[in-house]
Amino acid sequence: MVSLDYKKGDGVYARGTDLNYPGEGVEGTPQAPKFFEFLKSELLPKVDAKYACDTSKRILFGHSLAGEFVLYSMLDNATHPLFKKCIAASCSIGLGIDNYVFGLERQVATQVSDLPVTLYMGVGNYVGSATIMHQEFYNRIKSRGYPNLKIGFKTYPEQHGTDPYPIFRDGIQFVFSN
Amino acid sequence: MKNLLFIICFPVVLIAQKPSKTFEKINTKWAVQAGFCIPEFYNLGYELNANYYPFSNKWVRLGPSVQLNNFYIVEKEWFPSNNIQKARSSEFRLNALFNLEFIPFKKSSFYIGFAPYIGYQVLNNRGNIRNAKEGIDLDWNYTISTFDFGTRYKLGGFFGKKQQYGLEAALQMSNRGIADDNPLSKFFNVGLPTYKAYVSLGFVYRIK
Repeated sequence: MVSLDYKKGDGVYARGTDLNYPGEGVEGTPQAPKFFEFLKSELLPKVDAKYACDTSKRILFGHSLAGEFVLYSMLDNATHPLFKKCIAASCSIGLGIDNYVFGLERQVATQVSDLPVTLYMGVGNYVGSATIMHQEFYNRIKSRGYPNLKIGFKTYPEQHGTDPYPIFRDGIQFVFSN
Repeated sequence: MKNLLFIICFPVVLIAQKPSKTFEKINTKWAVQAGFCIPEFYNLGYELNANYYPFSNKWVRLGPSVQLNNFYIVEKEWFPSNNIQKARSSEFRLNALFNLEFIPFKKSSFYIGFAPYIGYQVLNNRGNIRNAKEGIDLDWNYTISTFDFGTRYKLGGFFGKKQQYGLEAALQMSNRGIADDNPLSKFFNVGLPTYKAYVSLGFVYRIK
């Protein structure tokens, strides 16, 4: 497992830069496509060179703004998904300026006929619109009828700080199940 | 220097001259409380308590109490957004506490206390979010009902001639996190609607 974090004090600023896509702008200066390029061309080659990895079983897991990043990067690379297994936990859906993730999903639907990805989404059933926005995203992408999209969604009696654990646990089981 | 000593000593003398009947007066049997609560960062609330002390002496009071809490969310836009959102959240809790109150000073009704509790919580959250550009018009209505347990730490005291009125400050928190299988849940778990933690300032009325 490779975990990406920031040094103490840099987290809030850096995550707003690295994980936000242009058009969303929850916080910081959005540079997520650059961050995705860093994963693709720098980090993964290094990891693959150092360890014996089965690249077909790569999983991208993200929570909160990183959960939104998982959805964006999956949609942004819909024609050639780098990560064919994704777990998006308690994403920042509904917190951006204009819910750009819905616009991107609609745009992708006009461009591709299939999305060969296994996606597990989860959200803590906490106060606010987060749960219904996750449900709406799940309904929309599922209604496209992509033949090779395997998708799961579940709500949890948890909150934003505690829901990563059960979502990751269930997500791992989901993406590796038949 | 004499004046200074007088200023320092005078209040001490006044305290020392309080009636020696203090302990008879605060030998509380029944008391009711109403308090304003400030929970975690996004909501407010109040509490009502009814306390019964079947055992009390000079130094300690023991007894159960029933508590009703109501919490509500104060609407706030956390991030700039083109979404139009209306939400309402209300939470009721009914708790049974067991109070242990210590009265450490001989001449004062000041007390410090501890009370474990068990209770039941019903949280309702409903609202609507709209964004015409993205074709979003969604209603939600969730109700979460759970058992809860935790602890209350308090300090207070009675005042007035009959020692009938009092003030109490308390910190109350759910401790349910220690019993679940999530390693991210802790003994003290601020932020989770089902793991309530709050401070309260309440008015106490001694009935008997």
